[in-house]
Amino acid sequence: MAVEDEGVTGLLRAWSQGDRSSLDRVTPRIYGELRRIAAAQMRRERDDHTLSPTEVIHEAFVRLAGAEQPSIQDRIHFLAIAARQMRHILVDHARRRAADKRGGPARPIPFEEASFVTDRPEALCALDDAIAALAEVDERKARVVELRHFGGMTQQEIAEVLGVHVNTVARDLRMAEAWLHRELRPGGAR
Amino acid sequence: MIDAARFRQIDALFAAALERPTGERGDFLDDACVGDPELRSAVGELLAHDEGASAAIREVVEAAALQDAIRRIGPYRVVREIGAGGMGVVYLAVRDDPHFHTEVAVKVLQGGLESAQAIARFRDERQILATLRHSGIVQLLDGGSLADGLPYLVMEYVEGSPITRWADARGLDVRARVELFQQVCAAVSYAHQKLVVHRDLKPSNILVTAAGAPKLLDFGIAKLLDPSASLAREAQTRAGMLFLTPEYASPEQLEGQPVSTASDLFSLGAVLYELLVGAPPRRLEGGGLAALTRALEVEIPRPSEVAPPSRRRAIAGDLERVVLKALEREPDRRYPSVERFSRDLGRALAGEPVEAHASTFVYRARKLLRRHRGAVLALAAVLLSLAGATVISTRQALRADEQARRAEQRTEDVRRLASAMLFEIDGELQEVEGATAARELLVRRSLAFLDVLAREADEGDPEQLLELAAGYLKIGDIQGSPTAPNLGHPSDALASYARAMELLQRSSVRDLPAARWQRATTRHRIGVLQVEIGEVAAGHTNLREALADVDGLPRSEDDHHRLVAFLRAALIQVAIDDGDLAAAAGHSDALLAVGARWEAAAGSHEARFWVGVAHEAASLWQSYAADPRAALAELDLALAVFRRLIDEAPQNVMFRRELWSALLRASAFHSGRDLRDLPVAHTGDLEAAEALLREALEIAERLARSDLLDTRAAQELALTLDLLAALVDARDPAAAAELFARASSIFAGLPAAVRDSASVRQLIAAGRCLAGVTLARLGRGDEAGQELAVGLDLAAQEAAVAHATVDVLILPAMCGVEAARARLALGDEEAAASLLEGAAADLRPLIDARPGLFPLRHGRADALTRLAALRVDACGSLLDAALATWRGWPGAPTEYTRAGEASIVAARAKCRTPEGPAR
Repeated sequence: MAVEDEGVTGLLRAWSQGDRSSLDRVTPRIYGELRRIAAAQMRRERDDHTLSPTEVIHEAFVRLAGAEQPSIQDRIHFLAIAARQMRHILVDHARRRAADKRGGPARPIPFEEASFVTDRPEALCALDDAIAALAEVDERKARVVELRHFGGMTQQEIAEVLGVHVNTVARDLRMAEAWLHRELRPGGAR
Repeated sequence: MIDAARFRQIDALFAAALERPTGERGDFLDDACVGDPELRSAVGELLAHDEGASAAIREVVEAAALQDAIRRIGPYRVVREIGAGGMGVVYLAVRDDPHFHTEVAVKVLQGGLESAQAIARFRDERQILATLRHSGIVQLLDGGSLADGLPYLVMEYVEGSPITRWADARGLDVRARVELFQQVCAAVSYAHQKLVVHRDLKPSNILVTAAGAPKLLDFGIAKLLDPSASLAREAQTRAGMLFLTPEYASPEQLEGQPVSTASDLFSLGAVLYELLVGAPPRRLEGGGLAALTRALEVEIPRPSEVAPPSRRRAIAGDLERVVLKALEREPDRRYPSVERFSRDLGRALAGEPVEAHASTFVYRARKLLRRHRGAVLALAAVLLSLAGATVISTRQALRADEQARRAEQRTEDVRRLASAMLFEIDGELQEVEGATAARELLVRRSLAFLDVLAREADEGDPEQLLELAAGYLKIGDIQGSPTAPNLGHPSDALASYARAMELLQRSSVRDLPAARWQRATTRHRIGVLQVEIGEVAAGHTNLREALADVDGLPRSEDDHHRLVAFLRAALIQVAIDDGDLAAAAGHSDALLAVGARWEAAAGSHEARFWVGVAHEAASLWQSYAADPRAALAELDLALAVFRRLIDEAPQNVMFRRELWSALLRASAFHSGRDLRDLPVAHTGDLEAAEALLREALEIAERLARSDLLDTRAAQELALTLDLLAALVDARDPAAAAELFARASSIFAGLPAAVRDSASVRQLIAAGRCLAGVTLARLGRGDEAGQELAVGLDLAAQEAAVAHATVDVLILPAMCGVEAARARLALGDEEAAASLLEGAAADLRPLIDARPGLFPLRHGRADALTRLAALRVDACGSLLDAALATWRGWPGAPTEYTRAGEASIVAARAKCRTPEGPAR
């Protein structure tokens, strides 16, 4: 298919120059690649270590760019898209795990004490909800947080992709993080 | 939902507040939000959540990503989480095999296994546990470690409920309860015969299936997780206690003592008690160690008095006696085995006479035997001689080619034995006061093993290399660890550490994180020892490199905090020697921060111990500043920490040592006489100084008495005696002379290697010079002269060593001042004056090189002031020089510096010299 043959970097460039349709074409491919890497990770095909979300995105970019010579701009635009996808994937999984945990009575192998590595998918779901609520009142702040924490982008990169000064990004980020932190405190999220 | 306009208002105020210094933000907000308290509190809350916000969000995202990855464990597919606790998380999983769709429970343990050693141990233990095959014990099927290092265990999946709940749900009577319990005893007894101790028996670990069969969970798992069983003592103290359940744990477990089958027996007794009574024998109010300690003091209520009324008659009498015998505080008073306990239960049910009545003679005899420390040492000796035989047979076996395979097996045995000796036996011996001789033997034998093994080591086997390196590191620690009780052979220790470094730099291991970690650890030891033996520059380099190496290495929190704490502590001293008090204060703050973080995270004895050390270390750099009150405040905190720790763990030698050292330091800030004769800023409260020193002396006496071969204890005792002598000298020179003589004979009795080490020579020098003053006061001029000559000579030699530390460099001058005081007491003013002149001159270049170190100025001003009293013609110019020295200190003036300055000015005013009064 023609779409498959199109280079990801070319699509990214077209998008950054205002071609909306190229975004629709590039997004599924980024999403697919992120999912593939995440799935491989779940099957433990990688033995070295568990990739952080940022590392997954980076790996996806390397694979998708392939032999093309991506520019720094390409990379930034890629990260901007991948950040949102990554958020979706992680939150999607977390919601399913949370549902798993509620479903069915857990048979008791009781451990009374507090847990150290136990899964708390609810935390990520709560964060996602809080970011969505933040977007209602200040969309840019929500986006800055997403790019920073799900895309692993630097403040400079975020400034470039949003077309604002880096100081603005720094301010947005600090306010948004404090805001979300407060929302996430035990019993604090409403 | 908040509206956008309000949000913008909050946003703007938040940004504006951040631009102001922290201290002014509150006022700023008060002003900006007049009439709008809601706005004020919204922004205030936001500011409160500013710190750590980024990290908190990152953590949530990354934890979720990690959980995504954990859906699969080895060949097992996780179905769902079924429990979580202090040990980790348990999942229900199935084996991904179309033919065997078996449900299993997979337990992912918290905490990684980083060293090759820990992994090997985990594997060994797992193999032992896998051999437990009993219908009453949940079978361990498999295990391994996840890619990120978390170990996991795969077990038979059992559906059932805890024994107590099961019995209650079916309304079992007393007899049925005891009979059910006896089935549990059979399973535990089976494991004990295989030398496996459960360590954490409690109702929730004893599930009863629908068919009524009890199944024991988690056999021996607590030991897998107990670092004290494998690692050196540093990890010890409370670590093992994290994994037990206090209501059912034996008193010896709660006290951190070694665990045995008798501990399981106690826990079984507690389970039976709860089965009969409906509540555990001890209930804990609140958490923490204090609650545990209190729990031990409370007498266990008699089951027949607290059980449900319907069961009381059946319980009273023999059955109750049997239960209480299992719950005796002293292990010796309990049943000797679970089987005997179970049999006695049977007798109680059958109405036959029970053993619980038997005479206590046996108990008394056994107790006497156990109290005898010799037995412990004898046991160690037997083990050692066994090990010796194995080495010889290995060598013989190696000669015969056809026996190569067996030889390999033998080598493996030796390796295991060597590591058991080093890491387990020594761990036990180290905490025992008086075990030095056994440790010497241990070192000799183990070193012989390691050298054989190192010669035969397979270059390509990183695990073996790492293990050998760990062995040499451990031996080095026993020989002369700078951080733990040791045998006092620093140069042997350095040689062992060097062997470890050499192994760790081989190409097959060089870049492994485990090797890098071990290198950092070894470098720390080498660095501290080098400083101690006078190779200061090399030591500094090693310490700094170690600190740089540690960062970024994935280690357990305890390991990491411990090493960083050790390094910071050592670097404080390094910074002081460089004359850089700001750097010293920086390291000291960093150390306090590490201690606080560690305490908050672990709350263990060790973490708290380091908080104490951090406060003590803060006083160390403060002894080079001029504020005794600030130093004493830190020391009060340190003393409080150490005193509490000793209350909680009276057997721990390290805690006592540190209390001793903090006492000495505190006394120095009252008397002005530091451990190393450094003239520190002080309060002048000599009574307080003496009280502190006497308490320190008691500790030093006790430690030295309990182990006559522990050279560090001996040095500490001698030093304490010297300091006390110097303090009582003015009041009672005869008593002082006796104390000095005792100290001197203790120093003389040290092994030559120890006596000749830089740190001991320094102590001896200071002691001799101080003793000279006392002898002079007593009119014993010849002896005084002799002492002073020896002291001055030693001090000069030590100060001449390249890169000597600052407290050594100052020693000749300080000795000179003591010598002057002695000459003055003997009436020789001229000699005294020329000694003082020499001292003042000696100190001058030191001050120029390290202008920020207050004691140097203190010492020189003191010498000049004394000199001014002797040289009346030069009184004015001498005191001017003293004043200049005093005022030249670049630090901010303190109460102490002002008072000192005033007294020099006052003396200056009284000078009757042609030079006239001071300007």
